[in-house]
Amino acid sequence: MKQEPPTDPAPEVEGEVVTTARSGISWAWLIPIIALVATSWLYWNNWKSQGPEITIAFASAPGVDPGKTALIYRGVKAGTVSAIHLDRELNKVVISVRLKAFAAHLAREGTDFWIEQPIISIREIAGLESIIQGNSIHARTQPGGADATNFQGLDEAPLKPLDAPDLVLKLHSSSIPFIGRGTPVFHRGVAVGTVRQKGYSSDGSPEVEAVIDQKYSDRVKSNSRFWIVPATTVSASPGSLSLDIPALEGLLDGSIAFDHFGPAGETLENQANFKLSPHEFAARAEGPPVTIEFEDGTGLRAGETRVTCLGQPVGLIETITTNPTTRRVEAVARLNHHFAPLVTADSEFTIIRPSINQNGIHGLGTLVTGPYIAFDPGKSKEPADTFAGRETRQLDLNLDLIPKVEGGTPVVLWADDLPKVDAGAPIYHHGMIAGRVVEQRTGEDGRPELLASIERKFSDKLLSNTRFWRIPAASLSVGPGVVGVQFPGLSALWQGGIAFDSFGSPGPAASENAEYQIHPNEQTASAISSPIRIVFHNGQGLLAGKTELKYLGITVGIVEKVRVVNKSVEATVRFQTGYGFLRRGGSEFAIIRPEIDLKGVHGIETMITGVYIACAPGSGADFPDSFNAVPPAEPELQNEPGFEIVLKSPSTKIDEGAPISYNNTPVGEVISKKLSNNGKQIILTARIREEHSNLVRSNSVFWDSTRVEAKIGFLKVEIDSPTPLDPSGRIAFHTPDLVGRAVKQNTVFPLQPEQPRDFSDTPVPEKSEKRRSPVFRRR
Amino acid sequence: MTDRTRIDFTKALVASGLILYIPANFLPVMNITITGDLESLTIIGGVKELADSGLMPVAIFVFCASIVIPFLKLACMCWLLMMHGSQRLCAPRAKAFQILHQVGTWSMVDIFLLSVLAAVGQLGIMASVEPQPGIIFFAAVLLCTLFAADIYKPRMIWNPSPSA
Repeated sequence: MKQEPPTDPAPEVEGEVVTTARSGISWAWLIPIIALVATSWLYWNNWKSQGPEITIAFASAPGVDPGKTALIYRGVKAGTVSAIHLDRELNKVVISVRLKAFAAHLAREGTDFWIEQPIISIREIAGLESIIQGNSIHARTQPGGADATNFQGLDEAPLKPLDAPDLVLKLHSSSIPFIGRGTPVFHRGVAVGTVRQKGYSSDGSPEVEAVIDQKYSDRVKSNSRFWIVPATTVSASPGSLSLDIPALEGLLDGSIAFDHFGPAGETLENQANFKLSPHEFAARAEGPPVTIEFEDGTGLRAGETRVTCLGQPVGLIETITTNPTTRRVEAVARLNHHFAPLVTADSEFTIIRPSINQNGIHGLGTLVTGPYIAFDPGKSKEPADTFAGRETRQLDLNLDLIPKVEGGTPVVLWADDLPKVDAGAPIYHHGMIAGRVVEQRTGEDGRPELLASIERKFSDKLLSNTRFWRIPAASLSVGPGVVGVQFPGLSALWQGGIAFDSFGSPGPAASENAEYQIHPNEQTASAISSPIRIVFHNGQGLLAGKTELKYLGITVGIVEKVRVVNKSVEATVRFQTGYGFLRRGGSEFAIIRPEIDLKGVHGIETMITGVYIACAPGSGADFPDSFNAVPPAEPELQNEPGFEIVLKSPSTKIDEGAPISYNNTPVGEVISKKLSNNGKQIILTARIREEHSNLVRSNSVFWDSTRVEAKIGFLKVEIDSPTPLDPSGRIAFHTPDLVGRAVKQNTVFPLQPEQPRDFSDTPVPEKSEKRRSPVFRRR
Repeated sequence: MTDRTRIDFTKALVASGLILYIPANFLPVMNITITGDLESLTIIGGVKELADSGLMPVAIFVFCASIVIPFLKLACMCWLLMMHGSQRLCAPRAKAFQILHQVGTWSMVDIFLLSVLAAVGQLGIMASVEPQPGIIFFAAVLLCTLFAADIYKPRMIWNPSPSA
């Protein structure tokens, strides 16, 4: 606001100013013009920085978002994904990318596009930035190429985004395990390249394509040998254990290494072919092939069996073939270039195998490494390439043992199923080595036999009724609280052994060359009484050679044989010495099985050990050889005389065998269940034990107490059916304190479906009070 | 400054505001990057984002503060300028201008919020907030309306040309 001075006398001046203001456009309008220019410039700039739009087709485009995903070229954002759509057949994702103006030249033929996503593997960690920034599309291009707008994307990122003219080699092998894309290639410990591709060559054998960096390409010579370096090598030798990890990159996948042994060859052209050896040693064994013929090729393995000279490995068996005409195994070996010239006409190749017996251990190293071939260079100068392989002299064990046989008592042991014992296996008597097995043979009647020799000082322990049994190499015993591994001794650990004993029963001394049966275990062997037969109605769980007979919990015998005779099971059992009294007439035998019911758990140990047969000695003077087993223990009630009463009910689930209880004490049992004559009532006959018969009075009330009440928190669950634990139901009864008169046998009582409310099964003082004044309670 | 100049300036500023209102609303005002997920938000996009994430009251507040109020201010200024010289509806115009002036005090709250957000929200790779050109245009719109409202004097409602 302009304050005009009152003294100003010149109205023209003021008018002039107004006129000027009115005639011109106020410079205030510069502001919107600036705004307009700024806005336009921004939009124009934005438009100008846009290059052409290209489309790239991918098989899949994970993590690509229109408007967000960037196209990266040499680490620079060269464009943005503007749209994504599927092609018409729905088998490609077509991505439209708006290039930036400076990257417009990417839109030309020969440009590769791929989606960079994080790869985290042992071999390769790549694209980590895409974890943070999201996936992006990357590009690489080659010079030249006409303009293009439609591209086919690569399925996976190329290993070398910016191509250089590297040396590409092809490595062949019969099988190439675990080497794959990205596997590093080392030369004397320097990573000089990577495996680009794994596939099949034109002849169908696997090959890998390795790319050697340009600056290292002159390291590959025409005589270079390539081998696979395993991921991790554990080498153990006496006194040292070493873990050899070539490189972190190769930690799990291994790697490829190459080197040339001997003078360097020429440098190479691209796409050269090489053989890939399975390990360095194989790569080093590059001498001319040497054929060695063996009579027995056991243990020789192509590519693994070494040829050693003075104990040092110098070569490797390359192939093994069997020649049917000469009946020999032909092994082709190659030696290191240092040793290859030493192979002359009088060289010797001997196969070394492990040999372990009671007399000593030879070639123990070969246990771990397998057999090897010892090479002894000859002295002649004449080269040769075919040799007859020599065998290690097999030590004849029997030769050593025959003196012992002469010095001991020979015995023949037979079994239908001969234990796995070899010549030299120990024979024990009370834990002492009393002899040895001399040989395995087939007896005259065709059954397998062992010829054993018992030393002189033990020969008096050998009686005609001596029992032999086999001792397993190691046995595992499991019992409540005990897990034990037993092995009889170091020498028996290898193959087990045989033991004998007479179990204290006297007998005539054994004759020369006596024959004995080998029993499968000590229990069977120790049960030496004459067999008896026990007939069971149900033989469930009986196992020949396993099921034991027990008397007062002590094992006294064993079931030898189980067979079915006349719809029952007949078990042949033997007792150990000293338990003959269990064979007296009137002895009882019963199978003990696990039993779980509401009354308790019985024979729970048989769940683990299997059933056993419980014995009770009889008092008869005779010794019968056949017994009838007692049925599984039932409450002896059934045969007991008792006080019988009859219960009537229109409907009940109570069955035979249901216990009858008074104040939770079982006093009797239901012995029969039948329908009444008119079919409307169920009549249960119950037997109350004699001593409890006075509890049954004329005013006794019987009810079905099968119902199981369970209380879970606030809920009260009632199960109104016989439970598996209690299949026949239960009956309870009560007699009021003011007892009624006594009743006769077979008095009929009604069976209440449930406990009457006036009664409690377990009377408490208050309730009995109430019971005495029913009138008061009803009011 | 004469009233005519004031009116000219007010008109120019309101016109600039209207021009700048377009890029202010169409350009992204900020980039939010949360764990690598870059979100480029325009004002209306931010409102939508807030509404989608269930913060409806905040969304409505931001919508009013950022879109409705600037627009109403511009519209109101236009109305006042169009009615300039007329003697009708003097009281409502004065009332409208008074409200407009008071609301103008709060109009920079968005800019303030974003500047705080951009300063605080730099959590490295986890999250970052970057202002984008849109916010400059938005601020320019607000400045235009503020200056327009400041240059326009309420007395001109009744006395359009006191010294004419």
